[in-house]
Amino acid sequence: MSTLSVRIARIQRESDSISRFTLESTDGALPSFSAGSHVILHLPTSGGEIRNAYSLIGSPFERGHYEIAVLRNPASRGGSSYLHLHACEGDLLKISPPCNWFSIHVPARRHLLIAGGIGITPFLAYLQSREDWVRRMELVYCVRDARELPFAEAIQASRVRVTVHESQVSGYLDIERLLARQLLGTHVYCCGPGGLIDAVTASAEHLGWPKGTVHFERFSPAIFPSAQPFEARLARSNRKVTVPPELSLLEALERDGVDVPYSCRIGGCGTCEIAVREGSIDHRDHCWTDDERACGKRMLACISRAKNDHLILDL
Amino acid sequence: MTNTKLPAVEPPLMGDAFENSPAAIARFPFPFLGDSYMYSVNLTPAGKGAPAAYDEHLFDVDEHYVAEMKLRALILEKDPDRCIALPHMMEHQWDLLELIMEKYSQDYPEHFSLERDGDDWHWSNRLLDIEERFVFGDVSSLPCEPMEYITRQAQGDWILMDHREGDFWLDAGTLTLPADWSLRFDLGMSFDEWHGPVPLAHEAGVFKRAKQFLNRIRPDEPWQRLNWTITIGRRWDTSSDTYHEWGPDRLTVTPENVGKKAHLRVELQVLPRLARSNGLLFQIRTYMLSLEELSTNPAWAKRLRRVLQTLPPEISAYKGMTLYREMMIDWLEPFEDGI
Repeated sequence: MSTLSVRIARIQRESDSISRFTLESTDGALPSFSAGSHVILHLPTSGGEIRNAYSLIGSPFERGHYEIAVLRNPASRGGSSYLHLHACEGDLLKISPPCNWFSIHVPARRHLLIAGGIGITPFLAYLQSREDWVRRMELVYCVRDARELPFAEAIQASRVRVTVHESQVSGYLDIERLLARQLLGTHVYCCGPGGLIDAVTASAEHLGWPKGTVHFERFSPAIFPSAQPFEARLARSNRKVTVPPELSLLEALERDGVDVPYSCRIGGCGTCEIAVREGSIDHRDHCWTDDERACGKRMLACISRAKNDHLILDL
Repeated sequence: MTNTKLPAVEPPLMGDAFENSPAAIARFPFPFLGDSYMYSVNLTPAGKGAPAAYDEHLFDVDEHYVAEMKLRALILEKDPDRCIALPHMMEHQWDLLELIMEKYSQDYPEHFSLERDGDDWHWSNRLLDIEERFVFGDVSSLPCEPMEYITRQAQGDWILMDHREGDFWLDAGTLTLPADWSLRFDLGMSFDEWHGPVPLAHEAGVFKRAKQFLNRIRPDEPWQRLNWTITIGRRWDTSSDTYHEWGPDRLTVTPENVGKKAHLRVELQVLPRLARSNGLLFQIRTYMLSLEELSTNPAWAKRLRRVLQTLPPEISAYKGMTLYREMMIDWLEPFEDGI
């Protein structure tokens, strides 16, 4: 897969825990992108290269540079810590070009955007997209403490209707009530912690929203819940790759020099599908149907794992 | 099976505007890799061909450029509905204009140039003698909407698909050279719907796989494939909307004229992701050689004959060649060397 070479032109503090990085091309203009796109940063951490996805938060009409926002996450596997502690202005980085798995459903009559914390990032680009799309948007921004409201300026500039929901004051947002009062033809978009996304999809289903009107994007898995180590045996190349709990199968393969095509790296797009010859798969993706998972012969390397101690892969 | 009461069927060919030079024949995208044919997804990375090949660049411009653009103008004058965009497709339209202007000016700097100062753009098309200064994103600064503007200057047909709900919706396009289909009829359809009439391929799972593939096309990695059919007469516009004009041509084929009348029509289909709308472009570049032109390359003639001999009857009927398939096979017989 092709990569772009960029320079960190500026690092700005957006809040106590969020920094904003401006990336400039080292060889000409950067490719245009659509709102909701992300790029993958290839980060040279001390523990080896880490590839993390970050939403582009700048205007899709800006050709000169990209902007991303990074939350400092103590539970991070090293990517966010690297950017917060080691990355400096002037540093060169490799990134994969923009790719979008969370795009705006353009013909929708209204767009209801629900952001939880750092989940605001893809919506910052939404709010700077075409004027006739933005006019139909409304944003609900859930934060713990509204005294510190990252990106307040950018949100205000968009002039969309914004409701800030402060959970330490009002508790969790009543999603069902919010969705129940939406006009027919509204599409809902959610980005935030897993619990928020689950609540939105469950409420929408309960209220009878058509499936195609509910859109969501999960964060990169900072950790793999209850992950066990396993061994991947590559049948065609006759090799063995050990997958420790803190790495995905895709990452373990990459470290051992086995290239698998990928795009979102969070189990949402299906690009890193690989064939499995033997072994029981622990499917953790959110892009396949139950039937597709049940066939047991394919898996997404970026997120799914082995149920037992090994898998035999057609690689 | 000739019928003398039929109207004159050979279309006015704009003189010899579409005659193929030996160079055009040499770079013809001959579509068959083997002696038989079946539908497949057959996608490969786009624009990676050898110098002067039909796929050297993402969008091919060849010796028929001016003639094709004149023909497009004539067709649009008669039938403006050959260029339609649903209202939510404006961002896709600008994406298309940007992509064509960028690629044409990079790949054919002797014919096209683009200067940009922010959103103030200056476009020059020396082949059609057009100079345009306009504001990117401002429709009122162009003589018409961006898709119509640029596709009146860009060879091939151009279909813009909106990508939503994991599907691809045919929501805009300029289609003046279709191989028996209709933009007016297919507008707004999902991917499966607009491929509904294709035989055998649905059952073989081709469209399900194709859709999964299209889902993953990235802006930086466009793809291409070849498709083919047979057209009688050097008819560029075989739209379903004008069937009454070209359909009767098919009854006029005789063993004597089949070498001149029957054309292998090949579509180079190019599929780039559109950067800012996240839609997908489906460009269809059409090339046509008569059997006579094709047989200047005996290996092609031999292979086409073998493909026609083994073609499943459903595909032969869908491509509309049942009436004259045997005549083509007979005409190509001298090229069969048994090897």
